[in-house]
Amino acid sequence: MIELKELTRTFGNFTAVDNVSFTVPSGQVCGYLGPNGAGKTTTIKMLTGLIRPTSGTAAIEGFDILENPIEVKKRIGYVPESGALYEKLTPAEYLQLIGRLYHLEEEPLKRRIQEFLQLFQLEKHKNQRMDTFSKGMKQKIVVASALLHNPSVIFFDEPLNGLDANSALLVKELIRKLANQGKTIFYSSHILEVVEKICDRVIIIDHGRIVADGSIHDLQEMTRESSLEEIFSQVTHSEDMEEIAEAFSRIIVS
Amino acid sequence: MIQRILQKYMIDPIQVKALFIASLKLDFRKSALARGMKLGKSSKKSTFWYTILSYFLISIFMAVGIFRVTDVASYSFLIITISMVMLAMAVIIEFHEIIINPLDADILGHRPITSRTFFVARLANLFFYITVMGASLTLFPAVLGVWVKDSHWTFAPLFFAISWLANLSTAAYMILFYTLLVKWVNYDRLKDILAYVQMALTFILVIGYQFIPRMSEHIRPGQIAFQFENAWNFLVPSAWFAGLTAGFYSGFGTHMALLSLLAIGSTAILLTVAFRNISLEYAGYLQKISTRVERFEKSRPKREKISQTRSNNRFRWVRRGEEEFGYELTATYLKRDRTLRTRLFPSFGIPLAMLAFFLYEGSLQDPFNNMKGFSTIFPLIFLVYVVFFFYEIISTSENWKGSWIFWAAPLEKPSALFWGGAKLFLIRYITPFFLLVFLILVTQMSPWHAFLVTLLNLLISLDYFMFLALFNTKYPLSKPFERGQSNMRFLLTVLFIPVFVVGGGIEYMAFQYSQYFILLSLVLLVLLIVLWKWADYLMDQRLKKLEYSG
Repeated sequence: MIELKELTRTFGNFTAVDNVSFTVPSGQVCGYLGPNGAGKTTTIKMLTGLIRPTSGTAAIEGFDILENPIEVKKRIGYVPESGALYEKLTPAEYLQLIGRLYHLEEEPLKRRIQEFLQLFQLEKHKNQRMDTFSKGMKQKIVVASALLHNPSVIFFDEPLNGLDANSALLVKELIRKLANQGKTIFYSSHILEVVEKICDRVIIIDHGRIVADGSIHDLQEMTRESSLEEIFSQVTHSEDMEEIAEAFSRIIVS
Repeated sequence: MIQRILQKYMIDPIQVKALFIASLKLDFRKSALARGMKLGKSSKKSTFWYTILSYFLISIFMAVGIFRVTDVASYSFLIITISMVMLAMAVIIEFHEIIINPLDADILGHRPITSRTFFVARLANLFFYITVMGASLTLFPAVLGVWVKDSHWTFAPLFFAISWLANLSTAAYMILFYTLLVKWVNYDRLKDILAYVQMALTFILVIGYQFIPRMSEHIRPGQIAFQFENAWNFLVPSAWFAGLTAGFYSGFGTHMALLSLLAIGSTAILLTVAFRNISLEYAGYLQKISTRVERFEKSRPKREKISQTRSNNRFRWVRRGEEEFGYELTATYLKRDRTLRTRLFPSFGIPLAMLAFFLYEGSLQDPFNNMKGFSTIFPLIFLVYVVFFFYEIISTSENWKGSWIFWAAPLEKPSALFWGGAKLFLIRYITPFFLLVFLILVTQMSPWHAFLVTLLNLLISLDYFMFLALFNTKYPLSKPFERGQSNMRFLLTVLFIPVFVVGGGIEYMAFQYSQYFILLSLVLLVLLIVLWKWADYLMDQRLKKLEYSG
């Protein structure tokens, strides 16, 4: 379970996240949407202990993120947008490092790494250094490293970045299965079709504030729009994209 | 028992071990991208090995150079001073990311690792480097020291152990210095400060050994012997450790005992402070770095505006198109890419330090009037070193990933990108340096002679610049930095000694047979143009065939 109470983060005069409060119960897949710079990643960074909130509180599985950061971190998995890895390591070495940080026992850890690499079709690359990998291959390792220790709350920040169609399908299915097992999934993405398909609930944030929160059905009723794309456009007051595209094309031709 | 102690201090030994092993693997492997390797292939040679080799060679040079003219105390003092300064420089320029690495925040920041565990793992990594690099700097001098005046066979193990302690203390100073900076300034400003500190250390390294004995008035022809009674010894950490070494052979009088106490006490205090205070805040430093990077990104548009205004006002020395792009890009990167600046600018420290020292000593004389003034060329010939360093560094950048555009853009003349960057370097840095040299020389000789000396050295530097351009095979700013890369320059500088000698030989001819001075200058000018055109042709051919590996 994830609980946020008036969580705020400022950078100088700029307020990235402004008094955000919500609760995500266990077993729910919660989509977290917003335009670029809306404060999505900053929220996730606060919840995962990467940066400190300026004010407000948050708890993961009942543990306060400021008072018990280590207990929080033991229970979460995080797929960051940056997809950062120690690229000079091989996938096996990297996953082994991560497993050891969570005190997983050596033999079960080795088996689990083997299974993960098989499922992501990376087994034959397990002893190659990741600095020679494609973006998608690296992303698979990032996803694997977030799930290796069987976390109960998982944060996904654009997890499908660079993945091929089959791997993307696998991750989407995996997210549903994990939620069915009772895990809390916090899913941030710009790919609205995916959010529409896999999320039980959608929170839309704009300029650091929540502007919509509910199931797809609730949001459809609230905005009287049929697709998530249209809902998103309405609640974030997006300008007329057709007009902007028209202006763009005129500039390009001229 | 150990488990309980570790638990008390919130240190997880399993995590420390895992992090330490991983960090060694990371550091000992050269990045495949740096070598342009394809999927599946990997290069295991790290530039760290070159650092070790170059340090070992330097240690041989310095030990052989002084072991006959020093006693135990002076020998220990000189070797330990150089070793401490070089290690401090290495930590600042290459290994500061061991202390706090921003990548760790992204990869490990959300893992359940306590602040102290993180810190101890990083400390172990740093001490490993300090031990290996320190050993490569002090092992040979320790053995050779057995033959120093008043020495004994016991000197080798004793000196090696004490110099290790001195190096450990250097690491502790660096940790304190670095973490205090992180606490007080933002990460970008920190990199700026590191560049200036490195320049100062280069200055100390080049002229420090000349100043200190003179200031202490205890240098005699053919013999260096320090008197440890002088009060200034208490201000110089390397003197403390030298005092500790010398005490074993000349006895621990009051001064030696005090110096020894300072050596051991300061190391113990520094390490305790580092462990007790900094370790608890370590995770906070990681958070600060990641937060400040974000803040910096949010303030970027303002900087953009300033840069645009400046660039519109500048006088155009470069041809339009690709060359102009190379010029602007290099200018922007040198302004914003702090790692690039940290690595490039301190190389000016050596010629500047030598100029200052020669000026202080009164050695900047007119070489046209007497050959005693020939020593005037020494600070200038070191510009060759700066030029060499430019080539070593200009192909790398923090933002190297953006270089895909060089391959994607329809470049008719790819070498123009390089020449744009090269012109920036020559116009903004080399030319002002020579103007400064001219102004300094004018105070020591006639303006005409000062002009000729400056011109000759400028021509030699430019010839050397074009000579090195013959071997350039990379686009500017298109490769990631490799740890240990900058230290490689020491080794390469040694290998390039014959080129320095050729430069010195040309200058000797020019001043000895000054009636041919103008003719020689013209020959150098023609050579410059020939090398330039040739390098341009070769670079174009090579860059057109170069494959993108990012």
